[in-house]
Amino acid sequence: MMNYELLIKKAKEKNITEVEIYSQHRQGLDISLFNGKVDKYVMNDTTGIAVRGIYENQMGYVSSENLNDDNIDFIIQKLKDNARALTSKEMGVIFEGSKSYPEVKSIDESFLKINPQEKIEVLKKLEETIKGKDPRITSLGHCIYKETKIDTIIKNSKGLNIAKSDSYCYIYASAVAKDNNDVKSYGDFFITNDFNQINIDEFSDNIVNRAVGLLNASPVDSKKYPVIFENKVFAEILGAYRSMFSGESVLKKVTLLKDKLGKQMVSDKITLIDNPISTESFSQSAFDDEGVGCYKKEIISKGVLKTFLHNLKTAKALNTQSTGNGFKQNLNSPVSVQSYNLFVQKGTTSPDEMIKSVDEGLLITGVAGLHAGVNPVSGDFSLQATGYLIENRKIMRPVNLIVVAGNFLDMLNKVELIGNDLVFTNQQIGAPSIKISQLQVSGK
Amino acid sequence: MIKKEDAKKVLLACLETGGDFAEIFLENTIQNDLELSSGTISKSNTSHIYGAGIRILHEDQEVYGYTNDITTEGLLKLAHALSKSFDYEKLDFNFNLVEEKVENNHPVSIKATEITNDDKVKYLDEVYNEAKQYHDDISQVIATLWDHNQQVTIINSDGKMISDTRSHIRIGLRVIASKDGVMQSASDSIAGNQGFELFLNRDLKLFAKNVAESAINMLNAEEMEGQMMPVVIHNAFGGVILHEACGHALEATSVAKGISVFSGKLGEKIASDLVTAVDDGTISNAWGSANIDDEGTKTKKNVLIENGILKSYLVDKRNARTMKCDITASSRRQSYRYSPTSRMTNTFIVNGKQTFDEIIANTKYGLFAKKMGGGSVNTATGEFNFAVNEGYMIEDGKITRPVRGATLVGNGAHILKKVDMVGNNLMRGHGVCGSASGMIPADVGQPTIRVSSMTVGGRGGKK
Repeated sequence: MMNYELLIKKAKEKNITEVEIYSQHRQGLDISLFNGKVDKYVMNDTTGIAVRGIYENQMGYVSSENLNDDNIDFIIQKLKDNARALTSKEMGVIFEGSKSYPEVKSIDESFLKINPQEKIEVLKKLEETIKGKDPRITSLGHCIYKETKIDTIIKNSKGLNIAKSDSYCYIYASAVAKDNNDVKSYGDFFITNDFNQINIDEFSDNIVNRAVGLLNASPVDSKKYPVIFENKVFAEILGAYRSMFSGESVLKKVTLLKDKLGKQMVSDKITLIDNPISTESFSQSAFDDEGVGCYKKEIISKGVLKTFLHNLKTAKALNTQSTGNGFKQNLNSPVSVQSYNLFVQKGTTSPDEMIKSVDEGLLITGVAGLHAGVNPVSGDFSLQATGYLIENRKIMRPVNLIVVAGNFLDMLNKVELIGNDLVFTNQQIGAPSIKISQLQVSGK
Repeated sequence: MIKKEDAKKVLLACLETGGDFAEIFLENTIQNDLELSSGTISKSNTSHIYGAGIRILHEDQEVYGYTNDITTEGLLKLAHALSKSFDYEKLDFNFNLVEEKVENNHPVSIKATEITNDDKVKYLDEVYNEAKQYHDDISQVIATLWDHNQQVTIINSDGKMISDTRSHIRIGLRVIASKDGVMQSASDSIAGNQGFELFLNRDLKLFAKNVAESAINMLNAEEMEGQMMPVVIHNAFGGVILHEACGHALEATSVAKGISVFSGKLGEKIASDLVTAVDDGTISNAWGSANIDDEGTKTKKNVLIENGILKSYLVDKRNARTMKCDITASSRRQSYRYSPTSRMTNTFIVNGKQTFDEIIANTKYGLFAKKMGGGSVNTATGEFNFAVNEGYMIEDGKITRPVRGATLVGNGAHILKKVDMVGNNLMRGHGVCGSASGMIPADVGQPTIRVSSMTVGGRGGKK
């Protein structure tokens, strides 16, 4: 294990004025089942460090998984090379720490101690339950249990020395349904800190109903329809647009929201919140990856843009305060700006009431191709979708191979109803179901 | 590098509980990232990826573990922990590790380790400046340079011990054009498993100009009006259609489980007579190429589809056991953090007979998808989607107005049957493919092809 004090000392000797070590220890288990047999069983235990430091007024970055002391010189040399290459006017900041940090609920890690065999049994029961619910379910594409524990330490030359720990487990299953020549699949996950909260029967019911429900789906006519996005689907789309609210996008001029602070940008029904300490999500964080304390903030309040998300660097460049959103995407990446539990505030309408408000429209239960069909710069999207046709306030038939298209901000202006069913995805993005008054749909 | 006798000790520890195959994958990778945006170098980052993955098989069952403690003790600890997952009768193993020499088919003249940041910045400046000055409506240009020097060693209980170095380098360019509150972006890349001589041999200015032109054209385009219509998909990155709609479903990962739309279809017709497609990991210095796959097997050229008939899947060691067929040297992984599995390398449709001009002239009304974006596919159902990053309408056999926001959707089991024209202008484009064993460099490719009818989505409506 590397001597971090030695690294800091040597860096200072080499004229690196301030230096910070971010160390991450990850342990995990990943089990997949297929046809009653363990198909994949992966154990891991890794530690890596990301080192950043200020040299000639620029912040150089290096990450390494070689934690031998004899690698320290290489790290310092690369850090200096990288700092020297930078010409950016915005400079990063090494932070001495916030005055105080919020309390977060203590993590329940009991699932880590449960015998792997017991976890395999849960997957077996899950597979049997899903297969047993309908003869048209022919197989499970995925039947997965995954757990992760992450211990993070941030230590720097300004005296900051803080640690945090996070852990969670999830199950993911997808069922393949066949009927005559038609094949459909549907997958869902359940993520938690508490192994005992996994309710196999309820979880299986939803997957089976959806997979079977989509059989014999067909496209609808191309035209404009009122569209209801199911909660998880809306959360996925929101996730694809999260960079719109980042201070980095403002600096790079790649967000339509630049210069729009204080302006009414979308429907007053929309309030968008980032709350790293929300107890509704499976993960909380008391501080970000730069040691800045986290707190709840409204990004959009009743349709008005209130703030962008910032790390120390973007805040300094834009003459404001860090919002405690300086997170790293992974160990190897520099500190960027990331939301942490970003969600649309829930409303009062139940999903059933929403369906009953539609004479002719669509309920969208799945979208595909988010990495390609969404443009976070222009706001435009064009997404392959599946779901159901609603006629006369009732779900009539399944629909597939259609494309819903529009512009994200424009769509948020056409929000008609907001559901009471807020849910978080495993990407820590949350949304309730949302009804849009009109969207362009291409099909037949 | 681990000593032979220590490696053997680790492999034998893996096989204590009845495993019939064990493998150690060692990796030492240095990766550098540079970004030029708003005229300044805004990112310069180095990552050192360093660790080992151990895999044990028992028939078709697999356990995998990874660590960055690659001392013999660290590897033995992992081997013991993994072997606890099996409880079979121990088999008699007798093997000697023999070091194999790799035949290098991907020479590197200017190594990433020998080039300074200053030199790298010159390439970024060249593409940045060319794109920025192309038009007043270009509001932002982001140029990136990524190099990834990956040293791997694969040691297994068949007695194999082999090392290889891959030198992945890529210049990426993203150009954003904006006017009257509308923003459109275009991007492209130049990439290879090669040294920095790759950029000396290419016209970087022309490359940058083309991306900038595409962004400006899309800024001034109409929104695509959704409908069913013939679609002409251009060469190079247009090959993403084969990659997504068909390639993923030919990977043993889903075929072995019988959950691919192409499971059990060898020898059957899955595409039109005009379609012959290959996956070739041997092309010298290509982005998706390597000397050996990540199980240590020399890469090869695999014909997947010949004149419309399905000829081969992409098969790795473990799935070959279930499928009872030969491996195709297609086993790949992003890093030691992933167990290897069958993946594509450089996958493309081979040349047909028609010229590009003939294809356009013979299309009365349709969409010309000049630049494809990414897409995804559900391998169980075959349903796919692709974004069209640069599109034009074809009217009366002529390319007329630009259209934006088009998405192509369809089913992989049917789309290749609807290919009714194949051009003679094969080119490859460079992608990063994400799947079970992580993100890996992969080339896609094709000549210009025409699909007789497809659902095209878009938000332009009848006025």
